[in-house]
Amino acid sequence: MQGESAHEFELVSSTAVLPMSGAAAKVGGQDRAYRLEALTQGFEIRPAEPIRSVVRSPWGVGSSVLTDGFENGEVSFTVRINGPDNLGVAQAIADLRAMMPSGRGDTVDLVWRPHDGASPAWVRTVLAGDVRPVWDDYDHTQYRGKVQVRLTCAPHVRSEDLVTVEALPVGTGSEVTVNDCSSATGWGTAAANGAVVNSIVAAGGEVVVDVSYGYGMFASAQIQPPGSVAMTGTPYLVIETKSHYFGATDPLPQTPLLRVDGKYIEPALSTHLADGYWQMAYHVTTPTLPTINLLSMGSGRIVTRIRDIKRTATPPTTPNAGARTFDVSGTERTTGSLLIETRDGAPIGQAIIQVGPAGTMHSPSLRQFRTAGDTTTSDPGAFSGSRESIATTRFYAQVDYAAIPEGVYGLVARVRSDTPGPEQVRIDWSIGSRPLWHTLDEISTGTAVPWLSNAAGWKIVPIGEPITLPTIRADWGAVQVELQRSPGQSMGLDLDEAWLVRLDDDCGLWVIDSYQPKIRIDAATVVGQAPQVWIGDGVSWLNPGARLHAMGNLTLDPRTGGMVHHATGAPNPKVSASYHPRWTDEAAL
Amino acid sequence: MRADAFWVRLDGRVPLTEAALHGPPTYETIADGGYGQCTIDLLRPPRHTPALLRPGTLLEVMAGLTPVYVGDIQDGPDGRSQIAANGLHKRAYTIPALDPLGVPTRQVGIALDQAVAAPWGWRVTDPGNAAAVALGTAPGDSAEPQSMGALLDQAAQAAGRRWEVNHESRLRAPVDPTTPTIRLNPDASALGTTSDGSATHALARYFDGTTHQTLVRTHPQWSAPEPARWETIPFTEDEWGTLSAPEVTALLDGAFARTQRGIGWASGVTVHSSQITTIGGTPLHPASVRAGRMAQIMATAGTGDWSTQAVIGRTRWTVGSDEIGLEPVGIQQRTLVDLLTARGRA
Repeated sequence: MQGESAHEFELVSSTAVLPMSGAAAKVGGQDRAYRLEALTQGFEIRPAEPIRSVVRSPWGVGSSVLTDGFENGEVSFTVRINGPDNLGVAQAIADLRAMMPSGRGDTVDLVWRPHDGASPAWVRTVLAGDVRPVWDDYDHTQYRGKVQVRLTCAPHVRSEDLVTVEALPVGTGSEVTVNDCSSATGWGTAAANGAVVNSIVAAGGEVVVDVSYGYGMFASAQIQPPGSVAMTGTPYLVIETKSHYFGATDPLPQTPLLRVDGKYIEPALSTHLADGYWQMAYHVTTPTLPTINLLSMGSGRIVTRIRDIKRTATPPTTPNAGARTFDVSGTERTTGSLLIETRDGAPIGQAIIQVGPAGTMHSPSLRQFRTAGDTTTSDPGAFSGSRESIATTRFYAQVDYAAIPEGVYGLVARVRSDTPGPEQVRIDWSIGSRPLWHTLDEISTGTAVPWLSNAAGWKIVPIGEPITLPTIRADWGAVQVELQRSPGQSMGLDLDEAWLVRLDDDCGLWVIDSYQPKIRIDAATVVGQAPQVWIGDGVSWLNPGARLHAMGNLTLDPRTGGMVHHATGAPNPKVSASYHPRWTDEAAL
Repeated sequence: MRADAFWVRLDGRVPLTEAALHGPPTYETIADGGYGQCTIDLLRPPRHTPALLRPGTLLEVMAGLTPVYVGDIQDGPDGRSQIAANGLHKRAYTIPALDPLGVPTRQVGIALDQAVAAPWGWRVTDPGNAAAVALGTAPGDSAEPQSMGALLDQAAQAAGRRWEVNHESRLRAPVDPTTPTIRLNPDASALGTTSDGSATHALARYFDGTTHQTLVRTHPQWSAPEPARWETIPFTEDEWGTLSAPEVTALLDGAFARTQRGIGWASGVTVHSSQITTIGGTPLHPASVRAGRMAQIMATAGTGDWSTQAVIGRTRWTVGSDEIGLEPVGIQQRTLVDLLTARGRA
């Protein structure tokens, strides 16, 4: 089969397209007379080798292996040039050489278009390349040439088309109670994967489901309120629930999950209510109410109380704070862009944006876990909707372990002081762990000294250093966070909200003041561009300069999906994302 | 491991990526001083050195909004493809300890006020004067000019404290913790143990204003029949001036408290993040491991103890790496002379 052209791919840069299938090349908008064909013989794709770290343990049978990333891949092939004349051959070699990236940020793609004409194209990003002409006297007399091309490519391939995660819609309907949970009559149940539904009864205005879960993460019990419910105009399903071990009262972190056509969906927002219930809001795309599944996060006999199911037009949250989760296509980690914009074009103001993997009940806000403190005052300017003084009375929050997956966190607070000039206000903090049925222990304490002033108003400031949480490993428990002005000072000090910001892999934090309606976050790209943050109106974008207080890199993992928590000066912003799905080889999208 | 939340900030406001593409920073935290070296490879050396990369610029390694390293640039790229920073405490050794009249002082608070003001401009704060009050006045009455750093060293030794510039550029005078907050698993490493260089008795020579005196102190953890090893510590008149017996006793006891007796680490170890946990058993992310904290080292076979404890003197981590290097305190300053005299600190 030597010499037969078999490869339907092309090299694409911002100014040139060189098809390797014998079709006409276009450089700078001009058609070229020569034809290029990649030969089957010698065509080779060396896939990306994983970078692994191996740790030998004296206890394990084998070693622990972690995949840290991937080396670059390589593609090599031979191109046959058919020029109408020797000038055409020379021009083809010159065009191929010019196509090789300089490494200064220009993008060159190897775009593969499958033979069948219908399957999705996929793209390898070329980072560097060599062109080596193979001289042949006879070829030369026939106005032909041969060139060996070797390309160093970024690991994996990406889909040619950008995937856009649209902003969640806001419905037009008003809030409707689906089931007030006063009666268990007509509720259907089913169990799967080793779960047994012991009983489902109504008690105290709640539907109480008693389930024994077998061992395994995905034992589940399905519960179904009676009747078919249309979701039109109210795309959000809101469930208020809490769970505890049979015979106990301490709440457990059990998520009611929805199943739509056999696929579980994450809550767009999980809010912890002051009375210990979790309020879960799901964005539902089906026209009627889907099945509700209680998914066990452990084994044992667990009682779940459901007190309210309703459907709403918007997620039930304070207007300034919100969250959403979304699926990520592909098989490999990818990077993308995130866009946060106000709905009416007004400036977005101060913004704190956290991005991380979905698939957990991670919920960074601390006000939802508040257990004690000074009098809270309703405040529409506050991200949390209310504020309280921490000048003389200590703020306490007990965060369910469910809301803080094991990892490293930074404590961040939105505070304001009434000191006339900028002053370092001393704030005492304390973080400890309280496993279920045990006392608070392993406490870290310290004093933060942010610069605050009356004129600066609310400021988002770091409190302490990164800390690994929970400090005590346990099945269930709470991390206790305390904040108070240090003694020996007299200024007023208000707390709006505090967050435990996740700082692990795939997590990023952005804190930006924007006098513009939009914030755009661009991840680092494989061709050596650094992460960027922009503010703008959608037409022109600019660097936020000194208004940028924290930044990270936007990474999306298809195994977990993405989760965005945001709080902004403007209410109910639109949050959308876009990315190229990445695949081990050959795109399926 | 990768680290998407980490970035490098210059001058308290600008991401380093605005000046140059760069690799992951490698930084040290240290118990004495706060932060050590930080080096960052640049993808390509800039053709000229931007003002932001010149020596003296504040450089912070950030985890989201929280600094995990604070220093100032020592070596700009200058055609090389690396920048290096050092902790803010280093600047104290190039600034004199003077009072408002320009006379050498041994009071930390007075000297600090001048050091942070023009023309010295040491970039630290001490809100509420917490550190100045804790450190007080260095013993002795030497009127010889000395650096702010040397004054802080002397005052800290007499107070039984360390001093550091923390992640908020704040001067702090912490006392070593007495309970561990970090656990090293037994498989972490075969830790070399040593008792080299740790003196059991200190013999101080000092000037009491009239004559040169000798004072002997015994390490509180020493008991017979362990062989005694003594060390002479010369408290020179140049450095300290006149000292009293209680002052010398405090200095020696403070030094004993900061040296390891018996089983200690002979060398640093590099541990994988899965081998180091909180006392509660949660694997520690390297960004949350900092020098100055106490580690509990679970016993390896043959040491005869359940565990030993040591204050971490230095950590070294490359952002995104799964491994972190740890050194106990006292590796570099093994002897009391090293700990207590300017010669040793140089």
